[in-house]
Amino acid sequence: MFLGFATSALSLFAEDWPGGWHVQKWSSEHGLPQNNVRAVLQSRSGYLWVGTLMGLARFDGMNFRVFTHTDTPGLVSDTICALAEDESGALWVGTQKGLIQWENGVSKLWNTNHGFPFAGNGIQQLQAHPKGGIWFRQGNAVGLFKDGQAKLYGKADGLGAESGRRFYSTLKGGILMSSRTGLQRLEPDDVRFSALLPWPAPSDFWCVLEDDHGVLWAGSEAGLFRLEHNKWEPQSARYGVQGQWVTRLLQFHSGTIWLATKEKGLQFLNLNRRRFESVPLPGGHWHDVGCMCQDEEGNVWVGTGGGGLLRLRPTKIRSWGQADGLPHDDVRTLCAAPDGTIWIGSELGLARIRNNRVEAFPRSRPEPRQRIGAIGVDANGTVWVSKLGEGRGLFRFDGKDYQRVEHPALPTNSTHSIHSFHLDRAGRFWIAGRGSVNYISNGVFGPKISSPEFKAEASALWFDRREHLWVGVAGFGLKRCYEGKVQSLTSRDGLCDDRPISIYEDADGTLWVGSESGLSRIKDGRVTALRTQDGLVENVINQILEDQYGYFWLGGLRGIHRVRRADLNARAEGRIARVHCLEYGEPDGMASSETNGERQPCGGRTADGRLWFASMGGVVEIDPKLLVPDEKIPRVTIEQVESVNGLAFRPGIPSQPWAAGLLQLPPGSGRLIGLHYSAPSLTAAEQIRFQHRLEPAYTGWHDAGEERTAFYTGLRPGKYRFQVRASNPHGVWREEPTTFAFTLAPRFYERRSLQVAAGVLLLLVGLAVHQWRIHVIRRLEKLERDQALIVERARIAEDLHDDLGANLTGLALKAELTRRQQLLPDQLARHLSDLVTTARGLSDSMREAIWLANPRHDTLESLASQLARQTESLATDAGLRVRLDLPPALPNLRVSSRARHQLCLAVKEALHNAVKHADAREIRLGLTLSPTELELSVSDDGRGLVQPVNGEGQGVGNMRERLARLDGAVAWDPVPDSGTRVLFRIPLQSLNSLPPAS
Amino acid sequence: MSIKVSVVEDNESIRQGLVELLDSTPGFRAGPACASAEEALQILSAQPADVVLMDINLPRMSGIDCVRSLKRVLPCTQFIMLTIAEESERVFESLRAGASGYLVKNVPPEKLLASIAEVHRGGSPMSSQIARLLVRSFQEAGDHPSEAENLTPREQQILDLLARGYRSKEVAEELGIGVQTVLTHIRNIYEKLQVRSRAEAVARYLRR
Repeated sequence: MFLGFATSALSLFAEDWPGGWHVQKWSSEHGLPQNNVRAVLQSRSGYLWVGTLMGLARFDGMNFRVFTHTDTPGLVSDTICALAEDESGALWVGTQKGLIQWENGVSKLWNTNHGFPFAGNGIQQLQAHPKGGIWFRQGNAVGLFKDGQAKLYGKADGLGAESGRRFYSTLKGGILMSSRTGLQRLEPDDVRFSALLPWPAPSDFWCVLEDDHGVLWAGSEAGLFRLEHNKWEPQSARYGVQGQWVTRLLQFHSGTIWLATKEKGLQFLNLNRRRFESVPLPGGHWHDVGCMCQDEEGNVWVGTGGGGLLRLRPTKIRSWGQADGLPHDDVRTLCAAPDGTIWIGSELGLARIRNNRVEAFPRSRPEPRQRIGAIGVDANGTVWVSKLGEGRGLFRFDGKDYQRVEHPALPTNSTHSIHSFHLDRAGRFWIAGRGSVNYISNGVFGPKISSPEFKAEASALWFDRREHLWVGVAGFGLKRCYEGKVQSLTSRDGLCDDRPISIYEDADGTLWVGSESGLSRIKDGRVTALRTQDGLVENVINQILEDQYGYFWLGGLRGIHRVRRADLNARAEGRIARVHCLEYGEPDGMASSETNGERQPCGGRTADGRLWFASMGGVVEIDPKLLVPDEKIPRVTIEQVESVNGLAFRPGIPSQPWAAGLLQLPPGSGRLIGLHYSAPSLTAAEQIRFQHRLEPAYTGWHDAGEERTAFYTGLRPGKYRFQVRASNPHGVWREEPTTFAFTLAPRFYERRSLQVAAGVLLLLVGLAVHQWRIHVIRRLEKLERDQALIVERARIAEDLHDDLGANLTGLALKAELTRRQQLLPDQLARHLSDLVTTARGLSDSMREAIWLANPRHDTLESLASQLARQTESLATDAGLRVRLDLPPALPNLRVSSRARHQLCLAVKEALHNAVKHADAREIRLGLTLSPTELELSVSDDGRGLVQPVNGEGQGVGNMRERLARLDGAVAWDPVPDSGTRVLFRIPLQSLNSLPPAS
Repeated sequence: MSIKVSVVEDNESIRQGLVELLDSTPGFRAGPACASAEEALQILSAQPADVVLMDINLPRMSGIDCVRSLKRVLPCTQFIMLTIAEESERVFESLRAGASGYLVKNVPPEKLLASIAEVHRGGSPMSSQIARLLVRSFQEAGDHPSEAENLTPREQQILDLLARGYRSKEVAEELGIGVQTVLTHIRNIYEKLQVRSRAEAVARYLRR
């Protein structure tokens, strides 16, 4: 365990640590009792304890378990001000009503009866004494609590002025007492405080730190100070502290110094740059750092005054994005050049990373948006760029200008484009167009390889050591070209699918092919597909890179996943059931977990072993040697046991014993038992997996996955041993499981309990009947209220029947005639086709009628959906584009069927006009809401129809009339040559009005 | 290899019609057809199909609940809901339960078959209305601690465009990615919706 920590700490502050922190926030919506966090501490059990003003919470990395005075006997107050753990593992909780000692499941309360000076003043600071006892501060009173008695320090102990007291830990575990006037020291073996070291006037000092070299630092309103030759020297300028007023100063076991300033928030000392760097915190309370601690895994936890709990996780993956100078965060293609330069094709242009610096092209003048198909660098260092869309083609880029290159496979006037480049081992640079592939070597194109098999754009490309060329053709599988032949491999041959998007050949000559449906292995002519059921995290494999340690790094949509190549082979050969993947994503430093693919290359490895990926969040840089696995495996604890009889066991509550001995469960509990367990892991709780077994009923290990509860049913009376163990994110299982023993008492039936049960049942039935009656009465009342509506609905139903019924009869008649007549085959086909059209039309109007009649659709949301559907259906039939401008969420407004009817018809007429007369390419439906009005608009990009003079043509009169019925209005807004907009405005109150009495 | 399709539909003429259509089209074959959700639970878990066409309104147990139960035992089977009218909320509920798409019952046969093939290939179509409901649903959920339940930036882009009326092909053009990739993303969005729906169910259970 210690080793694990040591390696992570070493790698964290190695020279090439990228120096970033990933911040995650937990607040009351995640289960924290309150967002004002006063104390935070990791106990030896691995749990994080969080003290708030509304209770104490225990966090296992996944869930908070909250303790308050109402459910936890012994916790006298919910106002938690301080937390500490002593040498013996007791948890000390400083509250508003005294000090609570929580040990072996037993709580003890210490207050004014035991020498504490104040009754209502909280215990604000705690620090364990290395030789037993605990230092405390209550207001300005400071003392040591030991053997059941609090001893206050005073003049007799050499303690000076009383105001503004606060203490901090010394290197040896003693206390540094800070007051308004100065600083005094008390080491564990001292009996008296040292002489006062006065503060330099006139600053107010707020915090003190003795660092791991024994150097004293202090924070004041005037900045950061350090004691040099017994003199406080200002340091803010020297170390680049941002902000003036230093309020917190801390150092954790990983060595770095942290401080917070009132103006600029949290900062840490970057040991490489010897400067303080700020950590941007989410939310509005970023400046208010209340308390901090570091856990064993190297995460820094920050309790804020109102912003909840924050975890700062040191990131070991670096993302290069717009903030670093890239033209855009959406990086589509990327190439690691032989000289170590990374060339980048983003959504808005090119860039390169060289010597840890970003250069973007064009440097100054903005260039029109040009999509990059692929970027590659050949053996001579020439940069090749394929552009897509308008101005597509193949170009050489010299760092300033693009020079178009005629590619034999890509004529200038072609509409095809290039998505794939590949530099092979012999230094040939391969370029794949549609229909053909060829290479360029020393500036000369080689012979063209073409085949009718290359039916679409090449999506992946590789030239292997046996001199076989592999071409992935989107939608048509993988093509192998050798000795003038082209062999096709598709999903029929075992490939995951027919769209290969990445290819990699490993040192053994095995070919790996990534797709959006999994990873395929091609070895000795045999194809094996590997997917999520084989242990992969996801099936999208955008890039396949390999590091120097034999691990594959697969870029997907959910992050980058590391998996041992040997494991993939073992799985492909059926030697293991699953491979184990380690997931890397945003918490590890990726700006976005989503990598990009479909272009080749879109990832690469530089000679120093670093791996580079194109992603939605810029360029991802991974140095595999920084990501040394932490071998620590969390230990499982049983958190709660419940059965049909209720809660049976819930350790952690002081009045109940911890997991000692055997738990006796009452008769009948065996019908259903749930055991809840957890394993504290503060870094990657979601990657912890569990296995459990129950002896003697289920003796084999059951893979529970992420599940943290085991349920058993129908257990017979007897003795049981429940065992559970966890694996860490690397898939290593803990050897010794956690055991929980319990017995089930045999069932027995007593007459009396049976009677009681029957009585209770009767009572319940009575209650249920009563409630049901109330329900029925209420429904009747509602029905009466809705009577008017019902009449209206009945009328609609009748209309429906008459209209549709008549039409259906007609349909049947037509069908009958078709059957009777002696028709020629083509006449028959025509008749049948007529019938189908009529039936479909009927079915459509039926759907509309149902929609109108159904009161469930009396909402604005439903109206919006129906209008959108109408627009889409009409426009699609006419081959037009549709654009919808609807607010994602609409208020819950009632719209009567009458209003819906009128509006649908009015919009339909506007749509018809646009489709039939406007000569448009695009139709836009808009909906906006003001406090008083609903505004609907139908616009097109056509000729800009002028409103007809007589006002009656093209349905304008109809629209007017329909809107008038709803007290609304139509505006006709033609813009010659750039389209027409028809605007309907309806007062909100008329949406829900009843029809006028006729 | 032909796609095995089972039909769960209480209306006999529609059920028979679909079975005949499937059996007479090369590339498809009809699996066992069921007239109720209860029957489907019994028969389909023993004889799984590649794709199941499921009526949303079945007597007694609804098609939505049926999908929820079957998806648990048949994670590889894809479910397409059949509706009479396009009821976005119910369709949305089915997607949360595990369906991969939906069709209105009077859809022309060619489109029906194309949709089945599409879903079987691993892509899922999504209408603008469903996209709008999804946008809202993911917005309302706010910050979820679990990354697996949140949309990636690309998924967000795709959903926003679909909600504005773009068709898959137009989305692909706009974003410079393949149509198949768009469909894969949509499938992933559906999966996240289902993961979230399960997470919510657990949260409800724990809050009791």
